Amino acid sequence: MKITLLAFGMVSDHTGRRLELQVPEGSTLRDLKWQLESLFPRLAWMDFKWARNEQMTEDFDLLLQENDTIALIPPFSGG
Amino acid sequence: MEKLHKMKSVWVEGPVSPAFIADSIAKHSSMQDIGAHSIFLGQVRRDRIGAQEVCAIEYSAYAEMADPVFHRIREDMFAKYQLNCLHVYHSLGTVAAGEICLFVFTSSPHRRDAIDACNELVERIKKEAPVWGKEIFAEGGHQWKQNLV
Repeated sequence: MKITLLAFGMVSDHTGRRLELQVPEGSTLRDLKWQLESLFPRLAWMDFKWARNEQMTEDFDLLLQENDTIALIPPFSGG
Repeated sequence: MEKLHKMKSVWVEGPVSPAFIADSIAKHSSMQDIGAHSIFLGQVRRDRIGAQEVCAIEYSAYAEMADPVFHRIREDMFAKYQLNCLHVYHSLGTVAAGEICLFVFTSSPHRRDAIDACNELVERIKKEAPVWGKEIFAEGGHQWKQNLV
């Protein structure tokens, strides 16, 4: 199934701003994390949080759904 | 009665111009129950980092998440302080050193509410709004800005 990945700040230097990814049915956020870390090994050492459909989440057991938007959110630096 | 405020967009493409700020102040002359304004202006600083010099900051945001955050902060300020009005403008895209990237404007009958709300707004925006600043070096290259907590 298809999900959209958005990345911001310094994370986007490594992944790009937006990616469309195919993940197997039944994938969790943890599966996606592993998939991303194998695509972009530097992610494993970077400081960022996760959001699913604009809500922050720390639940890596979360089951991904078709057309979810997952965002990688490093520390803010606005203003 | 609780006033409901509609969600307003805070985004300005590029710098906030001094003329826009002056015009915003002028527009409040018709609101004559206001006795005090407080204004914060964030300006892009020409930082020197080793041999590199910051010539601009390029701002990006997760707007779908940021808009509700700005709205919530705004509602909290109206609930906590006696304010006539409150305006926030934040740049997106490139803002050169010396230009304005954040404009926060609070108005109240008496000075304390305007000043305290303005200070609290700026702190909360820095802490809670999903916005990122990329510091562009004059000699090429960049680094991602980090806000001091």
